Amino acid sequence: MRQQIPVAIVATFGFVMLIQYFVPHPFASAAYSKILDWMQIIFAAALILGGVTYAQSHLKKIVQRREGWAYSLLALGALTLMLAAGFWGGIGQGSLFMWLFYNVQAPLQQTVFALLAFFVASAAYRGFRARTFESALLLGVALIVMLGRIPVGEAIGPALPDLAGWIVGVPAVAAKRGILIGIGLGSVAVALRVMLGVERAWLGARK
Amino acid sequence: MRAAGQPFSMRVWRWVSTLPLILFLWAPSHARPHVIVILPAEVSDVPWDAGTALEIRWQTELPGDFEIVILRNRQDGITDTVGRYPADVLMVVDRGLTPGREYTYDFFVYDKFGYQVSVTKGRTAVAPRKNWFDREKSSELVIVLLIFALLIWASAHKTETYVRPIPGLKAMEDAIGRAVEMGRPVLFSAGWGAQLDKPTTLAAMNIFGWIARKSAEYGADLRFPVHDALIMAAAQESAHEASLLEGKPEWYVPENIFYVTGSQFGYAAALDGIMERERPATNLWLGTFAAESLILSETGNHIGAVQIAGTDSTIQLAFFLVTCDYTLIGEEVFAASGYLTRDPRVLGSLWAQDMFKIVIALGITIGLIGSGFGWNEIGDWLRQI
Repeated sequence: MRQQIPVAIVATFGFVMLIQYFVPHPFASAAYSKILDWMQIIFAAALILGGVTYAQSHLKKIVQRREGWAYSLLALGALTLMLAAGFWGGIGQGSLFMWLFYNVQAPLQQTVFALLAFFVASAAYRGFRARTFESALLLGVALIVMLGRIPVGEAIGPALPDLAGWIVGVPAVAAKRGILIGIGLGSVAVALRVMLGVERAWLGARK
Repeated sequence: MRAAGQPFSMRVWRWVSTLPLILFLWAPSHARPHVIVILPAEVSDVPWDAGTALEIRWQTELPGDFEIVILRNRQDGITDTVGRYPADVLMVVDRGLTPGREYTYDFFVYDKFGYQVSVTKGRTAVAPRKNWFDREKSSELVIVLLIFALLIWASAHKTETYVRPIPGLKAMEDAIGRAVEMGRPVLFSAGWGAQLDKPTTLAAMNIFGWIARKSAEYGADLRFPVHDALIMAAAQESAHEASLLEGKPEWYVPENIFYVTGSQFGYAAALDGIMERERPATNLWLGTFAAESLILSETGNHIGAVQIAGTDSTIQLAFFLVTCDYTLIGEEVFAASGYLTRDPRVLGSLWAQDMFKIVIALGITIGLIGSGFGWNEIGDWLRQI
């Protein structure tokens, strides 16, 4: 029963969502909106579950004085501070909560995002080492595309930007569409296998 | 004598400019330049919709600079403007109506000076009807039913399907074994873009179920930091079942599958921290990734972990290809559970997927050849489908 009830729920809602796509009647759109509302409620409940699990795991680390427990203390302190700021001062513009968001959380996120530039450089260096014919080809094509996309490419020759545009617009798109067709069919197949209960690994079952 | 503030020439011009209008109004109808008549408009329900639109058609011959204003009348006396249209427009679809409510339409014709020259009152009330099927989606329905039918048939009959070796999946068991030998954890992530309602996430969770069983079998320390508590609950259940199936209930530690944050770069920073502190021997990036893909996989590369990635995001695939040891490209993620478990029903459905790919490739080829010979009808028909 632990397997069959979730599979039955998934199958019912999966087929309902599929059928409503073909039904223009307001009843179908109302059912669709209602199901989306339920999903929002489940997500909200899941957020509480996530918060509780987060607090539990860090508390355990602190109590057991595991390696890095000081970081857990910092994480819990930040969680408590944001919760307190939100409940007592509200989350409107000018509140402590928003001040912390704009001046602490946003810069931290931007810092991590900024690391991407350096990671791109190091990954590109590794990816473009011309050790084999394929990697040499990749390097050559990448050079054409990069040069064609910057003003110096136009200065080298007017054909270079056109060639770069053709590479990005024709062979690259053809390859991408091939991958996307496979992904589309794969998505349908997985969805159907899950709805019919053929795949149950997501429930923890193998058979 | 001159009227104060108005030159004589201006007064003459005013009389002259109004002369055509006076002539138009006093002239017998047969002498007028155009027949300003809106023939009784045909108002009909738009078929195959939610019952919220009516199609209004009319016939008239108006000079190009005339305009038609259509008013919509409800039975309760409320009147709204549908729109103002140039003279050459002869059909309008009025949307946003209430199903079952009756409407009539009035037509007002204005000339280029903005004078109202004709009014045609609508008499027959029409109500939009609700429909249970959108006929414009018939071809999509047929294709979906065909795919479903073939998938179900193939799951039952094509159970001996050969699946070509996929290096990334072949290496997965070795990568878990390597982590055990090195005494380091295996780190799994379904990506920040993962949601349980996405097929890619479901496919990733299917692979996770297999990884959990192998980890339980070998005694590997499997870690799965998540950004979504629903995924956490599903993964914990999956890992718990895996431990029971392998007869090692003590292997399952709920804290190893833990919620980190919903913030994208917070999630990336947390995983980077875990990698730097715990130095996992194997990183498995399988699911839906966005900008965090390179931050994660490049850090994994830096710590020397064996990395196997797979995603449906074509943009992130490029990053994984240059940073990971093995990358599952697109559909290979969806085929992974069949490949790993050798479940005959899943293998059968892979055969059906291949058949559809052949059909699509044939369609593209026929369309391409047709376009080459100028037979654009084939391409148009395929696009309509």
